[in-house]
Amino acid sequence: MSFNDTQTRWDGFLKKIEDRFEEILKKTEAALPLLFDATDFETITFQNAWQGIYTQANDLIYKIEDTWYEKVEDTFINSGIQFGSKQLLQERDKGLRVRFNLEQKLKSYEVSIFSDAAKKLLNKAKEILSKDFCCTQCQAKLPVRDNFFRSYYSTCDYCQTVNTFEPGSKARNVEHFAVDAISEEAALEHYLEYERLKFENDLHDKKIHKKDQLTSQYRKYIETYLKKRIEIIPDYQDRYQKDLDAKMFMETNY
Amino acid sequence: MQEKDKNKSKEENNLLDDILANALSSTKKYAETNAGLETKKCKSCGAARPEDTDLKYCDFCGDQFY
Repeated sequence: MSFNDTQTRWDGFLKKIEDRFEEILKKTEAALPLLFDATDFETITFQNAWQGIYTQANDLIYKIEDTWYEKVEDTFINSGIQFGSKQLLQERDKGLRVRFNLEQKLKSYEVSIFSDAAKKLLNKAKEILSKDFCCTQCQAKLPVRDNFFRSYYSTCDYCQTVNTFEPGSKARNVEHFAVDAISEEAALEHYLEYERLKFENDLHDKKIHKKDQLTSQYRKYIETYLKKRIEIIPDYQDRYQKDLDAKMFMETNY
Repeated sequence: MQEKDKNKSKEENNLLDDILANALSSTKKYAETNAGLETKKCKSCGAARPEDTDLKYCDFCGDQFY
């Protein structure tokens, strides 16, 4: 097979992978919100369904590199171009770029699908928490916080009885599911940029972007994420610095 | 060619349907708790726990709360 024929087949293969990927994710984008509504905002089913789709999409992405090393590279070499030549590397990098773009898209789809569901859940939880809750002893109205999603004690101003407020499963899932998804959405652009810088270093096999630049970009991502989390649950303000230090430590030391 | 594309699209639809159906059928369902209030009451005298008291003993009769 000639170089041009091989190149055309390689380009066609990459295009097919991209098209298939888009098709799966577009359908998912339409179907998963319906599943979330149908299960009355049940987060575990939603996450399990996404995990299945994510695995399919990821398998598709990794087909690019597998196919290159299993078949395409040898076919190019057999067409007459040398191993390690600029032409061959260009063709390999073409595949790596498509793989990276699809990884970025997969992350964006994931964040978008999850944050849409999370916003629905947050609204539902706020609606529940805005209802009237009364002291179990004297029936006086008790103030309930709409930005705290765990159980807590609330003392009745009239009879001084200590009531235990249980926010319910939906509100609790704001903490377990929604806060992370909405904060990831707020910080997404910084995360994607951080991944892009790392990819460029890997692609050129040298540090085009220095460690300081990478750390600073990662810090932007984490800061935006943590600040958004505080917007939803102000109690996280107290542990902002601790969380920031811990996340930075994990990234820079491992 | 058109037939091939049609089959592929059908396959993808089935795949998505299978994933969603599998998630629905295999996920363990937990009972949902509703939002609400409760008050711990002393088993001995029925008094509710007033503010600034510990949970171990009843403030009124001194009996163990739990």
